[in-house]
Amino acid sequence: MLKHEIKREGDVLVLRVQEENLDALTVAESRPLVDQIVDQNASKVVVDISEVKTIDSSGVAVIVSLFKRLRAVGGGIRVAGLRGQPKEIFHFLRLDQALPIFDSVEEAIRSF
Amino acid sequence: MARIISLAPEKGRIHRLDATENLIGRRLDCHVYVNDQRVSRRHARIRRELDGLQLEDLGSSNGTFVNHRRIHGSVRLRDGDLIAIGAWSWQLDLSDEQPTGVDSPLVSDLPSDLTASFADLRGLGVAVVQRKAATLYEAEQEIERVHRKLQAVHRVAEAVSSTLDPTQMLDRVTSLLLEVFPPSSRATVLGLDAATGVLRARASQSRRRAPHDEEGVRIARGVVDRMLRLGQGVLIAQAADASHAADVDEQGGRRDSDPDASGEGIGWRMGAPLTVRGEHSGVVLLEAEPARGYFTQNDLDLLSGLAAQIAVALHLIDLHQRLLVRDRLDHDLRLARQIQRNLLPRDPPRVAGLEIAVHYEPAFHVGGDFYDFLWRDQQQLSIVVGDVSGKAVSGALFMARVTSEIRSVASLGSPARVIERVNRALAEIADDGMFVTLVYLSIDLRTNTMRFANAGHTIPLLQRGEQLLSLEFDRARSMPVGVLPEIQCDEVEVPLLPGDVLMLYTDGIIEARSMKGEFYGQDRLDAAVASAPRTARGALDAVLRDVDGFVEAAPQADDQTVVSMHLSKSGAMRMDTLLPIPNRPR
Repeated sequence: MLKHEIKREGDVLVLRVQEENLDALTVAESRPLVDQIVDQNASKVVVDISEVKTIDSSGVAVIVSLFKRLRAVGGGIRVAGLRGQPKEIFHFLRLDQALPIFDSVEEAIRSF
Repeated sequence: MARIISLAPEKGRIHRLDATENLIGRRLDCHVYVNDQRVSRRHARIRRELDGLQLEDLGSSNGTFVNHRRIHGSVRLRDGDLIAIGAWSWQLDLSDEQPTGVDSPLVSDLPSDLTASFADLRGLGVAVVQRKAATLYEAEQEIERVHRKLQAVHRVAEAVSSTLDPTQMLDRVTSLLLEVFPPSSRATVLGLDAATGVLRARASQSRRRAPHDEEGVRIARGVVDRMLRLGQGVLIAQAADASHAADVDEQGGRRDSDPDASGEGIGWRMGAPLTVRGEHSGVVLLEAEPARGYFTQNDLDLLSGLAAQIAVALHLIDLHQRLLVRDRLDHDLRLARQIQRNLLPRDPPRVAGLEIAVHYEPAFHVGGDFYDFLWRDQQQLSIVVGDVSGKAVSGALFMARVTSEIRSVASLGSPARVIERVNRALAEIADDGMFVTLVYLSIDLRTNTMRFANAGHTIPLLQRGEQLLSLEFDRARSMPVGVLPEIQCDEVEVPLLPGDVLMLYTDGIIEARSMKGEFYGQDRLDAAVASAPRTARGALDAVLRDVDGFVEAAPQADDQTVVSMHLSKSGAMRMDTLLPIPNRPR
């Protein structure tokens, strides 16, 4: 399970990922985390990945998973702090067309 | 208080009939326990009714006798009646006198070392003869109790070591706990999820028939939490109609000299944590119905000892299960790999004028990469190379689904339409975040043109003469398949020329890491392709050699797939130059 911190900012839940590499190794068995967030009926979630320096397809899959699970229950996510390689990957995959991307957590929260 | 006094073989032993229902038999939980093979497990019972005591034979094999006459069904008992079962007999005493040891005709001082000789049993969690017994009779009672508890420890030890199935083991243990603690009406083992702190019943046995016993375990969460925090068992009384457990006496529980404390409506509960090396895996809980009696500190001591045994056994079984799962997973993976290899085409199709070479190397037993060749008709060959985000079994299963979806819509011909349709089918099922990147490329063999679309996949490379072209067209790029329910996709058309070398690959190639952790990268791949021989096989081998030289002995972290094609210089592909065309290349 990846290292993380969950905070509430009003009605927004902020998931701060505390991993430098978001890859197959660090995201192993992260499904309970996604379940936990979805189970909390959080409809507004900001994923803060400003600490993440590299991401691979497994790491992207966790964010996509959260995105899809929340959308299925009428919620939405924002991705904040995307830069460097993760930003390139998101653009390469054209995921920036589906997931709203913000520079800072504050902007992401305000956008809801 | 009514009682029966043993005449033989335990002359003088007194059994108080203080419960509403007092069982006589060979089962450990019988109120009057008779250790004799000729006695049935539940042989007879003495029930307290409004108008007195009723003795009932419970269908025993060898019968129950009152005043030397065998009884059938149940009879009312009178003061002084002689009750006989096999070689055992008792006399009913309805006088209110409590036996007082010192006045008893059997008084005799107990050897003083008796207390010490049982002290060693403490370590086992067995309640010991704690106070020096005043009479031989009391001493015998104590020894009997210790004997039964030792037996309980022994039987629990047997039960926990008899199976490697945790559910079966806990079912046996909870049944046994009901036998060992006669007042208990229900025994439950709650498992603690270390990550979430959630408690869940792993096994529960009730004396009442299970279908009617639908109420949950009534224990305040605070009580369980305290047990886990202190690492100690607790003994509590709980009003039958109260929603919260009331803590009666955390330390000592109820004392034997306080016979009225188990008043009407008070249900007793005791529990002990399941702890191994300071880690709690749950708690074991016993509940007593008011009518059945109460638990004592001795009971709690015994339960704590048994809980320690159960906890160790559970720990070992869980460990065993994990190892089993690992072995099974290993086996499953090998099987899945076989299935997967059969899903992917073994050999590329043989087409006159078009040489095709394939390299496929999963990082684990099974991979998320895939490739396929699909004929729409005799003129159009499609090639797909993709990568499922999940790995191992989940990735492979999803991959199987992806390839079958692609085959079912390949007849659409247009790469963009194929991707859109596959996306629609997969977006619904891929709920755990799995997605697929793929390049879909269709070659028209008559016109020597190729159309392609790219859903989040790596960029195809085209070596034309001395020029290396990255086939990157913003128009023909879309999001990976399986993320959004609908995606818009477009495609581009590129004419093919004789001598062209075309290469499709997965990100396992460009993300291959060296011993130092560096990525192989797009630039190295481009350079390797540019300097490679201009044949499909030659270009593919050159790339793989270059990657191998770069990673040295570093472990392969991701699947690696390369499909290369070479359009021969000698002549354009034409339908009449095709070798025998398979309907479905395998």
